[in-house]
Amino acid sequence: MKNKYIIYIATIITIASIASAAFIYVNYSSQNATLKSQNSNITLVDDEGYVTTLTSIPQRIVSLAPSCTQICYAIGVGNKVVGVTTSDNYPYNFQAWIAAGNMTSVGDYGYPNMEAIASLRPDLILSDNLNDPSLPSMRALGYKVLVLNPATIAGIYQDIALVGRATGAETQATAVIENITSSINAITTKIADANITVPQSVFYEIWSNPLMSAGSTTWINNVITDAGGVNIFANVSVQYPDVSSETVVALDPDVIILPTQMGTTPFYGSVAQVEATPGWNTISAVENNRVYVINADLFAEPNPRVADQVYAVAACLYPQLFKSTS
Amino acid sequence: MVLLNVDGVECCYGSIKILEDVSLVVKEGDFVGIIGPNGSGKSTLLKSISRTLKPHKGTILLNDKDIYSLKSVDVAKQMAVVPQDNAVSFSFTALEVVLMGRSPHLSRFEMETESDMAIARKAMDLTNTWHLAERPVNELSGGERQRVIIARALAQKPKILLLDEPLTYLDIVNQLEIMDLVKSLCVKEGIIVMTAIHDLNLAARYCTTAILLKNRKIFSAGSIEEVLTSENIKSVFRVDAIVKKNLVTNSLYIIPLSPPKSSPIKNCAIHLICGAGTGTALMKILLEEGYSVTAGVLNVLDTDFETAEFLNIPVTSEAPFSPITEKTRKDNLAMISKASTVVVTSVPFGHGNLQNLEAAAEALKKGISVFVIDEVPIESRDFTKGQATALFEGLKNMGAVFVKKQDDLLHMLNVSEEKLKMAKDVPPSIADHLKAGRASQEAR
Amino acid sequence: MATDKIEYSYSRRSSRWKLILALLIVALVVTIIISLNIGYANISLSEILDILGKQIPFLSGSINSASISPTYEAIILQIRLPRVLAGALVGAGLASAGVIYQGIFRNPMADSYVLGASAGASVGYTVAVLYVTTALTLVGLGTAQIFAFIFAILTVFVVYFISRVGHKVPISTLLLSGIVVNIFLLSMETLMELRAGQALTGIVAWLAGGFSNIVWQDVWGILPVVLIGIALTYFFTRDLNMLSMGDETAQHLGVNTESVRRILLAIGSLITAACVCISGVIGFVGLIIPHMTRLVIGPDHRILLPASAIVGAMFLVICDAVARVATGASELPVGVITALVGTPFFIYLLRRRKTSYSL
Repeated sequence: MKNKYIIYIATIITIASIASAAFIYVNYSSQNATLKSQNSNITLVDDEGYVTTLTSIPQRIVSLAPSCTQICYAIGVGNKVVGVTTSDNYPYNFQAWIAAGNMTSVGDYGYPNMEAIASLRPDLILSDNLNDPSLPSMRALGYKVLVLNPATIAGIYQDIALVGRATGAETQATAVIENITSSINAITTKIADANITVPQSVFYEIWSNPLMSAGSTTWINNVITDAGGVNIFANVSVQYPDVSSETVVALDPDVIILPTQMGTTPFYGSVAQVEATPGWNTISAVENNRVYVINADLFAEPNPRVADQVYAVAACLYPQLFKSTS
Repeated sequence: MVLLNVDGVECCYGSIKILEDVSLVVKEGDFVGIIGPNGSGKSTLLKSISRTLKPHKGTILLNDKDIYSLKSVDVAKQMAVVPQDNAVSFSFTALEVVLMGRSPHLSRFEMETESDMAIARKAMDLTNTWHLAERPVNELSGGERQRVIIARALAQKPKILLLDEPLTYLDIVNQLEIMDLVKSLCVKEGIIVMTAIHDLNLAARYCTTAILLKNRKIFSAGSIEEVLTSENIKSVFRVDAIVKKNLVTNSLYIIPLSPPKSSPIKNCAIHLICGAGTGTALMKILLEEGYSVTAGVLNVLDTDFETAEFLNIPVTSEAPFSPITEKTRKDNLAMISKASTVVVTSVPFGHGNLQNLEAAAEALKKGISVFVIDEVPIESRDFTKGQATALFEGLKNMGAVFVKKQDDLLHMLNVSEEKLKMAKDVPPSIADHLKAGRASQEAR
Repeated sequence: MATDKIEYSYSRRSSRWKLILALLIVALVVTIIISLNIGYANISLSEILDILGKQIPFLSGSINSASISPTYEAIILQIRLPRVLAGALVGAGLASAGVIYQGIFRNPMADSYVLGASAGASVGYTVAVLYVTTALTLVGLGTAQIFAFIFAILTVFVVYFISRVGHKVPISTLLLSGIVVNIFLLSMETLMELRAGQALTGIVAWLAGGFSNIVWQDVWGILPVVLIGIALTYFFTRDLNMLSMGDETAQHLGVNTESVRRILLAIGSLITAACVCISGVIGFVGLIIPHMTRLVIGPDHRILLPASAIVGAMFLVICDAVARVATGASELPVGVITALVGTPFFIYLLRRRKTSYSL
């Protein structure tokens, strides 16, 4: 009686162990196999340092972030994009396309649906760092994933170039980069020409509850600098620090910028509400009515429209030089 | 031959000693009662033997092997424990619980066999719990559950059975049944039984040996007669108790007396003229109140004589169905003369005890106060064709105090206490009474 | 005779149990196959069966390979099948760990998270996501999963050792230590979340529990731990029966209580850590499935353990299927589904019992 059970259990253990070992062996050795053939391949290193190798020009691209979609369309490979998130709305009304059946949704931004992606049979997946939790699984399934996560405007240029290289659209990518660069140069030159000695200090409010701003390792910081301003939190290395109301009052910015109207949902109050924050009536920006609202859609992520971002900020800082577009 | 040897065991909770220097030897067929007041270490002793609480010092040997060095399973094959509390939170059926008693004998994967089932069945029949077999054990009453646990212990077929206050939840029928059952197992199969028990009478009735614990040490150990004595009970429980042998059950039985009230010892001796049970309550009350008491003349089969013997009250006695002899009468009068008060109860008078009334009259003549409790009219208890009634009238005329009720008597006694002179002898306390009584018993 | 009936029914118990388990296994297999039918991609049942059949050596000859779409094959074999199997494995694991913990603690509120395994796993996962840059792999699991596993185990160790009094570990102390450590770790977790920035979405999603990112590596990585753990626990099921009656009672009946308890807690915690490290913190399964099974099958752990494991597997597979398709391409957290599905059913079972509830 006793022996019977021991045999059952021993069998289960043996089968489980052998099966696990076998699978892991097979799995890992096949990965090594793919790395061996490197002939006419494109080797790409993304913003997280992961090395991906493409053996051919991708024809079916899935974008897991609006910034990636925008880069594809900017460099002219938008026609290869077969899947986007439910937050994509630039440069086209993708949600309407999805509703009409002309585009496929791969899930909410940040929550990609594996089966939806697999159904699209992509040969390249572009993502930003928000989808990091899903990356190991996607790569384990064999998909090529490039993660774009620029911390500066130069980083945006690198990402555009990277996608260009990956999709065989290098020339277009270079052209786009030049375009953006010259647009930004035009703005910075104009500011320089105007002999502004002291740049305006800016408080860029990303979120109100908790009160959050952008630190030195964000492209927003770059945008503010190029627009002739100084981010009051430029010395904070945390990307998106929580800041206290008191600190903002103490740093006394000249200008407060509020991105609002994210997509179709306003996510927090009006200029009047912000100005009414207790203690903020003493801030220069509030006293001089220099609290501006900008289109959060444009500013939601680092994207190819960064020149427009710089212009929008410049228009807030130096309305005498730049007309506001909103 | 099973032998349990406890040597110099000391148990602690942290730095507090809860059992000190306990040594005993228990062998096959012993039915050991562990008795003692609360906190004396009864449960601790059982726990140290059942391996729940390891002693700091000392050894416990089972058949010459240190019980703590054995594997749990091996111990469980020989020793079964019935703990004090038996709450169960899972809804196992009673039969499942009893079958658990068989698991020390089963290997890891064996299911219970038919013989295990038969053993469980027998254990449940013996404890009268088979009808509960399929009921979830947490729906049973405390007593039923306790019997199921006992059945489980029996199903283990142990050589040693430890029981910690096993009778707490049982009604009297069950108490006796269980004790009878365990005793028969002890006698027939030589199982050692060790039980912590509060009820001294049950211990006296069933146990062959006893261990009396006081302040976490052994106060007395040995056969039940050696341990259960009035002195021991007084020392350990601080309660006066009468220990007698009951002829019907052939065992000791103990009657504890209420702890004496802190009345001042009265310098007063009272002689009771009573009989037929009319003086029993009064004897006890007077003793408690601090009086010293004597009685007579009583015939040796009289209830009051028995009570007086229990309470070790000096009695002048006479053979039954005989008239009072001259010697007895003189002894009685001698006893009366040592007293300061005489109390006559509402005893029926016949020719056999008529002389007691005369003795009362003599007492009055000597100046000893006489109280008569006249609860029942003399006419209805006069079986001497009027002679007793006449004597009664005589007592009245001579100044005896008649009271209607016993309580009135006590009140009166308190009042006259102040007026009484000191008795010739210093009245002894109850304990002295007992000692003296015992001494006189032994002398007989 | 009535008494013979009782004895007879007890002697047939062993075969009755085997029958119950066989039926449950069949039900589990059916549930898995039905669950494979549910998902974003609309794949027909016959095609699913073809795809599965092709994998079985002696059946593949009779299946027309041409009729199987490679995309669908990839979805079923690479995405859906591992996900469903992970659901079954985690469900079985969490339910078994729940049985162990409830038996040891004799407490209906106990599940395998009381000693801090889930809080530890959360902290480990968050630490890995926010602060660890080197990529690690071990038996197919990634950095974050390895950290989650290790922190979960470490937490239970710490709780165990701070509860030791001499050679014993009293149950009440264990529970209290578990509460305290849980609170502490939760506050550490909150602190890290406040600083998480963009990684917060991912962390919160993982904490809510789910199978969206399961691949074969995850399944193979934990399969040995869960299966061996459950098998080993079976060795101790009779001891668990006696332990559930009380420590002293178990010891008097020959169980080596401290040692058995230690072993069972270790096994339960390992199983829990393994499950949590691939699926996040899924609540309700470890707490309620053992109760539900016990209400129907009784408290004898020799049948309760395997039955709970299978019921737990079925339950989580069903809940994950619902979570998968409830709202189009976006998914619901499976922990929400387990609570929504499980609670009414449990209440129904509770009310059906005529007597007042006890374990």
